[in-house]
Amino acid sequence: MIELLELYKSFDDIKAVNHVSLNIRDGEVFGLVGTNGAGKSTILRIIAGVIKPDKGIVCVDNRPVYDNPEVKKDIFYISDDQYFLPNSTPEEMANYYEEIYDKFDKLRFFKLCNGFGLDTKRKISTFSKGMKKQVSILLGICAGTKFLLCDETFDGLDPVVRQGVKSLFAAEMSDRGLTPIIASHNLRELEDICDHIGLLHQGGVILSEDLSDMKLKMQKVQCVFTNDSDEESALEGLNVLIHEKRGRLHTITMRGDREEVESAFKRGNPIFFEVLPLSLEEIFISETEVVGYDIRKFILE
Amino acid sequence: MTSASLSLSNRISNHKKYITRTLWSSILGFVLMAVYYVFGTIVMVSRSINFGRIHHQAAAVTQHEKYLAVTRVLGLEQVGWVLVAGIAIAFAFQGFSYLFNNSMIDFYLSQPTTRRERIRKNYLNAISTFVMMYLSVNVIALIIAACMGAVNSVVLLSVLIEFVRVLVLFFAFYNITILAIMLTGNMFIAMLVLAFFLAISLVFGLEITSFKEVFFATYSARGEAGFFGSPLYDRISAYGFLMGLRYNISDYSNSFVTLEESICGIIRYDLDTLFVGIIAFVFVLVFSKFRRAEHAGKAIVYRPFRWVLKIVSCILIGLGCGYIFYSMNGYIWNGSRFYIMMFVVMVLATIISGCIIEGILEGNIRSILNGKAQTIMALAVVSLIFVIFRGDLIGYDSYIPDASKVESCALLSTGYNYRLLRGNKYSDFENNPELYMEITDVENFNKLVKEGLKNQKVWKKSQNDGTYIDCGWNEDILYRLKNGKVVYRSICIPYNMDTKVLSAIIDSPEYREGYFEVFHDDEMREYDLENAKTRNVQYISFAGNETTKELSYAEISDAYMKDVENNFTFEMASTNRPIGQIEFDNYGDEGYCECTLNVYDCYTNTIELLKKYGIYTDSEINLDIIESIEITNYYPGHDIEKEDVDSIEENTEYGYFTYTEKDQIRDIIENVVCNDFYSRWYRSYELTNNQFSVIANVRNGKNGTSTVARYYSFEMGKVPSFVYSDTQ
Repeated sequence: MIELLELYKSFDDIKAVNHVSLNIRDGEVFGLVGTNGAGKSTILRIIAGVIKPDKGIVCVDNRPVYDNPEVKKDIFYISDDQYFLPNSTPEEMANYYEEIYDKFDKLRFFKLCNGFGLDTKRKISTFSKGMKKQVSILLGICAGTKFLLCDETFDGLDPVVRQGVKSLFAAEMSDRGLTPIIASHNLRELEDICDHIGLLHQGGVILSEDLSDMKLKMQKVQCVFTNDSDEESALEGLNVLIHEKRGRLHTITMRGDREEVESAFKRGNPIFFEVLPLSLEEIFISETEVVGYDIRKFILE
Repeated sequence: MTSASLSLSNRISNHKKYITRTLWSSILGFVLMAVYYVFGTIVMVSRSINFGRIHHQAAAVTQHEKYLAVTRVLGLEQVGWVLVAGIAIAFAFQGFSYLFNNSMIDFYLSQPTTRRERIRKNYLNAISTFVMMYLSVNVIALIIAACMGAVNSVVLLSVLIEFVRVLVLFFAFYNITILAIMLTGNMFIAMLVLAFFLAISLVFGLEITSFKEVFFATYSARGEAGFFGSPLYDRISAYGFLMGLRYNISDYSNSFVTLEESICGIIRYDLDTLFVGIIAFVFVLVFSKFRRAEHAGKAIVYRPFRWVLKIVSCILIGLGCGYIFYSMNGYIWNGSRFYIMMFVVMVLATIISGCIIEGILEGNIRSILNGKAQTIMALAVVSLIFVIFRGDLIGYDSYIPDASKVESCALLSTGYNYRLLRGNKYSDFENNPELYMEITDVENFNKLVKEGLKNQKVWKKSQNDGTYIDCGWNEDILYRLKNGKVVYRSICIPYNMDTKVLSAIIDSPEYREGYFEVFHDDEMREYDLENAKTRNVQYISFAGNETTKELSYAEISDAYMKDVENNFTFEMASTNRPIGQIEFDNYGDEGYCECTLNVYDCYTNTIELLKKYGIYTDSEINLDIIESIEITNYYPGHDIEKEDVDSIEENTEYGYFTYTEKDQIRDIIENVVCNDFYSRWYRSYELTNNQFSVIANVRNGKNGTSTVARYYSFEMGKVPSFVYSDTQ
């Protein structure tokens, strides 16, 4: 289990991570989503032991991670722009990691490379961006670590490979209890794979919840009211996050469970009322808009 | 298969791959080292063998040359250290450049290791790789040299010692480069900081020395520069020392004694290099603790260092520009206004350099006006240095050590023309006073120096003003202090200096033994004895020249030494001109020696010796051989014995007259002294009249077929009246 407690990190005047507290449980896929510059990569780098936080505690299985090789043996970090040794091939990288990680499985790496159509004797510098990503993911999986930190890892992968990687993650999780921590902007991808989501904005955590709970606690409805007083009585007492109106059709996103929202709308006797499915992307937009992150405003202005 | 079951051979193979991937410069370095050390040894030894064959050298000489050839490529005298320094810098950049790049930092620091372990591994990889490279090419080169018969125990020891020296050099350059990397966030700035580290002590030392030369009238460019903290300067100085030694000791490669002498001479440079390396290493350890991943990409990582870097750079540039301005204009323009201009240049250079440095560090031209505080601090230091030097606030020009702290002192001027080339060794004996003159009468010496320092300022001012006043005898002096330090100064001993003080010093045996080369001329004697057939001795006097090949240098030296001991005093030298000169030369097959010795009429032993060999000629000039006398009057219409020379208008046209009448020639010759023979302490300022130059055209040769010019001055108060009227 990874615990972040009151984590704080600034770069000169910029607060990259601002008092973040998170718990990442073993055996679940943790998704770190957030606005640009929210501190996702910084948090991953702190967990990987690359960066030392200014304040706060990072514990991996109750052990501090910074400058602690024993803990780092359980962590493999795939950065957004993964580095490979100059002029190296996948095979040479496997040889290199073989000495670094005790549990590195080279045979499996060769098999997986073969499966993904990667030539292990070809120089990595000649690979495409997506192929490099594949190599780094396969190296990470074969390192045999308990935690796999992925920073924008699915970017650049084609849909087939993406599915393949997801399957690999799933297999590793069931086989040996791998805990992937994935930072990404691609919310649709995370929605498929993540069990738990940490939503970051300007260095802070807006929410951290199981994805299923998150969807249950937020509702999106479309409705038509007869008049304004009906609308007022329906929305009274509800925590409305977004309220859009086109003609007489209202689209409203709000916190609360489904029963609570339905009973509230019954008070307003809507002519039309329907609860719509809510995607992670919509939850993200709603939550960040609440804290003032609404690009549309700037564009419209 | 997992890494837990990795075999040793696999581990070694993986390590080799890792080194070639991360330290690829080792491949290039290895090739270059092989070319220099292996190919260089083959070429140099072959060249020695061929040279010996072509010039029919004796086997022993060729053998000696072969040893020298190997020493030159692999031993103490090698220049391959340039490669070593380059490899150290390349290894440091390759090993630690990950600190400049976020993705590399993520790659390395996320691995199960500590930062300290990572640094330790880099050091180990770099040093072990370098040692393997260096040892392998040197062992191959030595085997080849041994096969060619060019290795003996001295050569082998020299190569082994050089290996240790090279390791020290590698260590120093490697650590300095890493320190530059640790303090910076990108490659370009790291290279600038590296250049700064390598040059700072040397540049600052040179600038301070230059400022002493510019501002202090009594500065003497003698002694060692004594710059510390620059491995580059250390290595070049050590090389210079070894080259100097090579040309002074003929059996360089064959003697453990000379090898020991070499090591004794260069060890301080190597110790300085080692010291710098250790200091840099300690700083690397300290700064590596504070180095953070997020420092990548910054120009200078630590703010205090950024301040130091900018301030010191501005100071160096400010001082340097001031000196360049002086060098370019000082010889045509001098005085207070010039120094004000120099100061303005220094201030402007400091400000402009501050702006440029700020622009470079920020990577933004708009930032040039940032960091005003640092620029102001640099300006303050530059101004302070200027004021200290200009106003001599440290009392440099009036410094006289306390007599109780002085071990001995010396006047450093020598006679002239005393040279010996024997084998590879050349000597002009100019360091004899430094080596052998140990005056212990410090009280009188300090009196002399006190007046000399004052007068030197007057003399220097006249030089700068362009008035070129003859203020006295110019001398360099040396104090050897009891604490081991040495103090050099230039002084100008006034002509009116108390003669008692001068006599106390000049008449002392310590002065004589340091000033006259005959007291330390064993090698001259040996050389002349070995080459008796080629010697040539000529005695020159006013009456003519005579030569002999029979008179040995040893005999001349013995007689001359007795005369100096018995008769040389300040009183004698200041009131008498030499009556003649002995010119000795001996050009043999493997060298030469030559010297000139003044003969005074009181040098009876020398005169007797010259008479014995039939080359003494009378000091009286034979009027019959004088064809004519040309006189130049520099101040026509004036008499400088009665008038103040400074009150006479300059640019007066000179007056000339040529005398051929015997009576006039006699009148002139009876009243002149010959200037042909330089005499150190002769008081020409009060004994001779410098208004006229007198040139006698004298017939020379047995048949009188050629003429030579002899130069004279009138004695004070003895200028014939017709000379004044003829040269109006």
